[in-house]
Amino acid sequence: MNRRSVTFLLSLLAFVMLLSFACKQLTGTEYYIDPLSCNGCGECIRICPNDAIYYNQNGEARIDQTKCTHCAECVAVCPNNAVY
Amino acid sequence: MSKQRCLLIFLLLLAAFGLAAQNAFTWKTGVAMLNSDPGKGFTGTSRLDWNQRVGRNIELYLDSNLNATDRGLAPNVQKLWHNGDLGMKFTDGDLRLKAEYRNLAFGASTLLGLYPQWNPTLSQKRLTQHQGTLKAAYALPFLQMEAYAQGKHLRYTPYVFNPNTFELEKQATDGVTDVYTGLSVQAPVFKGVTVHAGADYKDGLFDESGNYRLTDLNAGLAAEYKILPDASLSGSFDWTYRDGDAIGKGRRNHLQSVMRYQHRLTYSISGYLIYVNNSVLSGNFGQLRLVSNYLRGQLQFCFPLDPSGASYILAGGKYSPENKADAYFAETDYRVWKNLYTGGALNWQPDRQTLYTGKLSYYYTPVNELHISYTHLDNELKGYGADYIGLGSSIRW
Repeated sequence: MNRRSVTFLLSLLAFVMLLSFACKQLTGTEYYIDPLSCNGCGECIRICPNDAIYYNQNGEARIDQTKCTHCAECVAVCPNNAVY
Repeated sequence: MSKQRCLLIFLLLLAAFGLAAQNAFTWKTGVAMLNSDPGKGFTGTSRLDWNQRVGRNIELYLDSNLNATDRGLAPNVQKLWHNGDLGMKFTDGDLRLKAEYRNLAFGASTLLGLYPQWNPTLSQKRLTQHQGTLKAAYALPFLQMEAYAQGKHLRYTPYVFNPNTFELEKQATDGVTDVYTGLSVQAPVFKGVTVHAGADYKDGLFDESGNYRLTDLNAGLAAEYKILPDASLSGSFDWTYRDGDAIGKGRRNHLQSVMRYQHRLTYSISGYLIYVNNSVLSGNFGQLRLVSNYLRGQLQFCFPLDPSGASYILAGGKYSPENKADAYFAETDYRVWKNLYTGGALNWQPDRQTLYTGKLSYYYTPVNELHISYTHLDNELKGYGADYIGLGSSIRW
């Protein structure tokens, strides 16, 4: 059983490396919030000039990609550096 | 600030005080004198967290975070900010339910063009936001199901540009509503590996043209493996199809891959490394295009001489080249003598800002403290700096 898990994880790692190095970058970007680093303080919601960040059903801040204008104001104010 | 907002904040504070004699209660306060490039001022913070279990099945919670300043500083576009939630969780065997109300208040906010896609000539001052959430989850031995629904209503004062006078004219208070809903299922395939699928729908009800409408369909795999008794490796791969006018055709098939390695090296040293890749399948031939990479690692050392475990050093970094969101951080808290702790923190975001913090805390009980602090902010991007000299306390019972 564990061998399958390891095989899957190693395959995923190889796939991720392929994605990281083999692909051209898309014009324009998107910002995301690392849910494991977010403490739910809401500073990003406070600063966002486009009402593009909200609390999801689990109380984590999440970026609404339909509203985000990629201004990156939220990157600096996050005390846990969770926005990337 | 309107009477309703004052009343709401007061009720949240009162509720927290009234319930303080119950289960877990934490109240953190602080005031700071602010000296920045534009001038001097004061800031004040108050954070209340309360949690109470009623019987075996119900848990009630309330959080209220109030932040006020006598003037708006560059990164803080409001003079008053309140973020509070009141909720209930119900658990009965494999069934979990959650109902929550959240309030955000933006006092004396600055003028913002909140929705340029919907109405580019309209600017708004945010007043308050009400949000309701309902969530249900049920777990069977072979399947876990979850569904949620959320409504978010933002009240604001609109300002419309008058081309005759070349001035922004204040309008009557208005509001916009967003709804979010979704469901997901998750099933174990074999030990340590699960598959999941789901659908989410969101809409900005104020915009009939559907600029803010989005339907997500997603499916993925996740795995976790314990390499050593104190080390684990986990990963996931998610494909999401995003159907909405705001998402360009070349961005609709979104792929997210996550790898995480966690290790407790010794009793005192632990750390983790996480790597996330976001890509899309674009074009007619499904070419893979990179959106962003995110690599983060941090290491923590706890000083074994402090029996309370509160003396530590933490250091780490975040690398996100595509979004220019790199950061390097370190923080420490160290017991210097009996109940006296000294701490410091550094948060450096290259070409963006640097934050330095120093703190001296006195614990008059194992969980209650008083502290003085000094913070220096150097914002390179916007070209301003600020110094905060403050004192505060943390009370818990």
